[in-house]
Amino acid sequence: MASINYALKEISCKVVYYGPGMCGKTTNLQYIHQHTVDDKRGNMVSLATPGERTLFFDFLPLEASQIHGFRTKFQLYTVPGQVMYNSTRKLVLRGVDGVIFVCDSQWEKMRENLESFRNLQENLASYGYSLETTPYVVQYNKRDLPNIGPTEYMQYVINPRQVPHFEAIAIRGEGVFETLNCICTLVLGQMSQKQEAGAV
Amino acid sequence: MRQDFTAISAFSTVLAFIAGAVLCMQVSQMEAQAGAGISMPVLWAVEAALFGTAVYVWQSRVTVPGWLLGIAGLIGVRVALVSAAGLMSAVMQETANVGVCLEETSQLLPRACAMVFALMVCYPVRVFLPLRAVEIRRRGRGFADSAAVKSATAEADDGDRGLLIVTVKDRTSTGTKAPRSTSREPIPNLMAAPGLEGEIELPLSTVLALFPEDILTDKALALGDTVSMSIPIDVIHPQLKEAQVVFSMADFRNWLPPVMRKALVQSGDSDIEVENTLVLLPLELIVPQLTPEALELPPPSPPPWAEVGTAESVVFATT
Repeated sequence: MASINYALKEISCKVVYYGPGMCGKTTNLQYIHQHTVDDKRGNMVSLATPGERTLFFDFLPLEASQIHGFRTKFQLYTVPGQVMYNSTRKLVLRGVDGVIFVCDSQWEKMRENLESFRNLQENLASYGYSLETTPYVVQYNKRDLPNIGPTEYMQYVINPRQVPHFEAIAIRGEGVFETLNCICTLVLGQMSQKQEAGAV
Repeated sequence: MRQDFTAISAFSTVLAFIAGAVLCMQVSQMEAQAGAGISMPVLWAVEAALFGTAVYVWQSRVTVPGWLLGIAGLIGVRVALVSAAGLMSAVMQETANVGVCLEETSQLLPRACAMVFALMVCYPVRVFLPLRAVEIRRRGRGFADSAAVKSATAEADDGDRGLLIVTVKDRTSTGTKAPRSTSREPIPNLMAAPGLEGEIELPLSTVLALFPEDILTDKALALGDTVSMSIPIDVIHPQLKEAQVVFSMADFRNWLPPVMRKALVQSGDSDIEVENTLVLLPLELIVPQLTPEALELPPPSPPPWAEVGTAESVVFATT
């Protein structure tokens, strides 16, 4: 859960990149790491296999601009997309404040996207969270590939509730920061809502 | 499978057995026994080869144990036929020397006759042979291939093992081998969607490539380049939300043009598994043909967190 340290005037939030295997979660994080100023980011930690697949998770601490005089820190995580690492995914979701669901736009990945989205809902439910209470945005990645489905269909399958969604080409950085900014805004907005309600 | 073995099948089996035994007996009493010089090992080899071929022709998807069982069964029936013929011969000749009669019916000609009748006797019972499972035929790698229920052990042998901590500079986005799975997914609800009319037209050559090879003929493949098939949108639409469109072979037969239906290998009563084979249709051929109404979303129902003001958005300092 997000924490506010009034003494240090610091807000800390956890954002998780979720999605099927090879959809571009780590690529998102790599781009963010490469294109943020040095003093606003920590080291990116990546636990991967020799096959370049995320084994445990990727982690990138990031600092945003000050909001109402508070330093805002975001801890960005990715989950391993492969099915067999579900316990790891579940673990990474613990205490999550916001989720970026990354979809692979290729036709042959449509079913994988849907199953991964359902897996996200199940794993959130295991902690008593839900997408009703956890801010999330959808990123349709790999829009530069030739064999991709239209976003209308992907919206129909993945995002019928029409939460904010972004088209992206993570490897070129297109849509990466737009997605991140949106989820961070939503997370902070929800935190503000809760604070006003006296829940935080 | 077993429901295909009807009373008529049982009757024809019994009839073939009786006819075979009688004919073997008659043949054994003929004067000249041609081919008496053929050695027993050769006879057995020919018999096993004939029966082995017959079992395979009857059920090409038979398992190896099933195939051996089929051969053993045919040999058993052949032996039973010559034995029955020998016993009948002994009874009719009113002789006590049954051994001589059995020896007579084991000669080449009655034995060949018994082999033919053994095939006739066993043909209706071929439906009991155990068959290999029919797999869902998929186009490309779907989610089930990489993300269905699968154990870590299954993945252990594709080289993706070992822990390696890398920095961001060390990583490149290279692909890895596709994980495997053999899971079957349930057929989604095929209830027709109300209010959607029209048909999806698919090139038959693409669809035929997804069909089981057993039912394809050269004629069908040749026709596939020139003919297309249509599937009503209202049966496809309910599956679109599941991000896959799957139909059984039996469904496809209903939608195929008559000329193509005839060109395919006609399934017999014993081919239920082939008819139940699920064929996954490529979404890229279907979705572009849909009207906007087919993908119409319900009115937006944003969760409470989505109603926050986004006027003061977060900004990250980028290079």
